[in-house]
Amino acid sequence: MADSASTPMVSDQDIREILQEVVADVLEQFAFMFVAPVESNGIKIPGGGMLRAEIHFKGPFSGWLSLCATQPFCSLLASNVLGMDPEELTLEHAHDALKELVNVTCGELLVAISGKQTLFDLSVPIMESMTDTAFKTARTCSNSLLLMVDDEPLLISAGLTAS
Amino acid sequence: MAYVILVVDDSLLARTFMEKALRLSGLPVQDILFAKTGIEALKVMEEHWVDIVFADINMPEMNGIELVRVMHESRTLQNLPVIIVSTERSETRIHELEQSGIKAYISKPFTPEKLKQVVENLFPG
Repeated sequence: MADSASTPMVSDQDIREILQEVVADVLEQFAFMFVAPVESNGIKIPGGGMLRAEIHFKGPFSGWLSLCATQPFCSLLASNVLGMDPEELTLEHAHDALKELVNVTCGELLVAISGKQTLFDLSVPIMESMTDTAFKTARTCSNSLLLMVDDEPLLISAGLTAS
Repeated sequence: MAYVILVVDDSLLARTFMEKALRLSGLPVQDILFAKTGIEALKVMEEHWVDIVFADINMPEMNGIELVRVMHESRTLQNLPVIIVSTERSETRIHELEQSGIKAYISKPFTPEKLKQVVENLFPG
């Protein structure tokens, strides 16, 4: 996940392991959702495209974190976070839920890597649509990690560079 | 005393969550007002009486830190308690915020009980 001028002392494998642990903890605490291992490479991505939330950070090192998920995942996430029925919620709630998740996850990731004393500036998360093709391409990148959460795929990608 | 509370966050989810948590907290809440940015928050405070402000840090146009600074420089707003609610984890940043004049800091995610505890610490008795 790190570029060639990468963060010191944290390998790509370490980052992936940290990310898996952080995302699992955040989803459990934030939304009572649980991560399951990906059984095979034949993950069926439902049609209709994906949503991608991205956040950037700057500090002793810089980078970005993104989460790609289906619309149903985002709706379920919002429903769980708010304790409300999905029918009561809007698309804006669902989109904000994914942005909030990337925000919380990024905070926890940076603490896991750098500890609680290090200062980072985080950007406002942005949201965009992602085609199924783009998702499949992103999934093959070495800087991504695919998890299943309540039977929905969640693709986590991160890029780190030395400041 | 029932509080008029202003919630400042650009996320609809976060504003909805805060409203629910405040209603569940057991705090006496007279009214909950909302703003999506620091600039909107200042307009709300011009037009309405507010007892407590809960503000996120990362917002477009005017973030939570800038909002606290502007309020601190205003004679009418400088004594209004601001509680920052954020995903910020850095103890250094939290300490900086506390030095800048905020009354308390709450990490996301949080419980209604935590909200109540923080407000009761600000307004004992």
